[in-house]
Parts: sequence; C-alpha cells; structure tokens
Amino acid sequence: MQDANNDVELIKSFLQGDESAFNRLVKQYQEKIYWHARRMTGNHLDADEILQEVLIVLYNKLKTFKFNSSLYTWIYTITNTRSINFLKRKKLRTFLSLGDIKNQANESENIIADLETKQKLEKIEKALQKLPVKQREVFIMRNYDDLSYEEIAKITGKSIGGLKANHFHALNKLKEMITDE
Amino acid sequence: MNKNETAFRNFLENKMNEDEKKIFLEKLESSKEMKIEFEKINKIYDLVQKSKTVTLNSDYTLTIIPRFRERLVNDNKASFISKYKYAFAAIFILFTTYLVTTQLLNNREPNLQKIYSELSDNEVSYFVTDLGIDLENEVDDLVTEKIDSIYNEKLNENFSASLSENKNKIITDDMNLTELDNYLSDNDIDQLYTELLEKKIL
Repeated sequence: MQDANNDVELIKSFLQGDESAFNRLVKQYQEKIYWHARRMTGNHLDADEILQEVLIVLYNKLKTFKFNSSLYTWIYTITNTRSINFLKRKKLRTFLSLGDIKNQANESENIIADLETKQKLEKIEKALQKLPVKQREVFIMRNYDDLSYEEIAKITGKSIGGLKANHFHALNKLKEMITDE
Repeated sequence: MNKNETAFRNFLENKMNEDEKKIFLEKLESSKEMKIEFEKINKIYDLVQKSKTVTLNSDYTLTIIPRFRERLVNDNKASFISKYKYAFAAIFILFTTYLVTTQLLNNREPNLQKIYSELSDNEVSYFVTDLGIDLENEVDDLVTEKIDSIYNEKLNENFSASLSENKNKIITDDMNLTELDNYLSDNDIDQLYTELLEKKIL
C-alpha cells in the first residue's frame, strides 16, 4: 500500500515536470521489467532492448495512466506485450535472415557474477526458450511472478481455462526437458 | 490439468498446515508414480527459485537511466523528423515541379520583351516595318505556290481517273475518237491504230 502511494506521488511529481521522479520510478521497477523480458527472450541483449523500449513507453504514456490498476500491473502488461512483439519481430528477422543470429549466451556473463547461479539460470532459460510463447508466458507469470490465473487473465486477456491448459502443457514439457538432461 | 499440481505447489511453497503436510507425505510414500512426478516438479521449482534470487550487477543497472535519457533525446529528434517528413517531401515536390515547369516554359517561348529591350530603335523599326512586309510577301508567295501545286496535283488525279474510267468507252465509241485526239500525241495515235489493226479490230 505504501509502495502504491509512493508510486502515485512519484507519478504526480513527474507529471508536474520533476524528471528525477521518473528516474526514481525507473529504479524501482527496472529489475522487474528486465527479468520478465529476460525470461521471455532468454538473453541479456534482447532483455536490455525491451527494458529501454518499455521505459520510453512509460515516459510517453504515464500521463494516460488512470490509477485503476496498480502501476506494477500496468508496467507488467506493457513489458509482456513488448516482449511478445519483440519475439515476433525477431522471429520474422531470423526468417528473413536480416537479423544478427549470433549466440548471445555469453552476454550474460557480465551481469551475473555467481557461477553456480549463472549455470542454473542458463539451464532453465534454455528450457523455457523451447516452449511456445503462450506456454512460456503463463509459466513465467505463474511461477516467477506468483500471479494467480485471474490476474494473468486480466493482463493477457485470455480465458482462465486456456491459461491452465497452457500451464499444464508447459510444466509437462519442462519436466521432460529438465529430467532428460 | 494435473490434479497433483496444486498439492505439490502448496507443499513446496509451504502453504500447508501440519495435518495437510502429513497426509501429503503419506500419499507420496504410498505412490511411486506420484513420488517420481513430485521429484521432477521439485527440480523445476528449485531451478525457478534459484534463478529468482539473481540480482543484476550494479555496473549494468547504473547504465540503464543514462542510456534511457540518451535514447529519449534521439527518439524525440527522430519523431520530429518522421512527423514532418511528408510535409517536407510535399513542399520539395511542389518546389521542384514549379522550377521545372517555369524552366520548360521559358525555354519554349523566347522572351520578346528581353529581345526588344536589347534592340536599338532603328533595328526595331526595321524588323517591324521592312522585314515585316517582306515576310508577309514571302509568306503570300509560298502559300500561292502551295495552293497551285495542290490544285495541279488534284487536276492530274481527276484526269487520270477519268481516263481510266472511260478507257474502254473511248476505244469502242467512234464518236469519242475525235475527243481522244485532244489528249493523245500523233505518235500515240499511230501506235494505237497499229495495235488495233494487228488485233484485227479495225
């Protein structure tokens, strides 16, 4: 509740012309945006690009925020939509061979120091990338962000039944992938 | 949906009370299949929980806001250009069209006012009076010649056509022989009579 009040104060200050208020909002949410994008894309460079895109959208659209939902839910929805659009664009670029298709796995070395954690992260990231986007999306929201199916349905606009089915398939595939290794 | 999923999740997230935990563990011990499934889920859960604790290196996080600010400035510039690019393009096309059109019109029609301004009074007078009359006469002669030539040409065509149409009639009709004489030379008449005699028509 205190966070929500703090968000409202920061938004009001920013809309009155205080640029530092926006910087404080960014510091508060940058990791959450980054990690959702990172789990969706599976690499640092793409996650960083999505993070920058989301910040631009927030900066330009914050004046349209209605305070009907929490700022976190609003940012989360924007991040999720941007991530899915980014993946579609990337898929198209790869299909047309316009993109840089180099292996970006090593790019994460600089941002994660602990080797054991890094290896575990890479293992689950690799498995997540093998899931279809719809299944990956619901798995991340359910297991990493601890969102209920009702909350996920609000964010994605999909039915709860469909989300449960996607989560079930995602879990089964991950079980196979992780135990096979 | 897997019926055990909720139970596994509640157990792993420590959301069960002691009695619920006891029942769950008893079930798990009694079913080998359920135990295997739980182990798999536990492995995934462990990986997810470990990767959730990862924090970003401060060397990276400190660059996020400066890079965002830099990008914001660049995006605003790009947005200004993209917003007005069609207006610029339209103005450029109109201006180019105007330039090209005026250039073409200037090349097609000599600027008479400029020529007049460069001539002396005598020269202007010569062009307007003497040369003007000569030109008029010259044009008249040319027109008359052309009309005569067309007239003669038409006359010849009509005569040839008339000759062709009446050829047989002229040959067979005695009454027209005298008329034929008017159009033929003496040699032609001799040749004609010779041919007629040879073919025993006469």
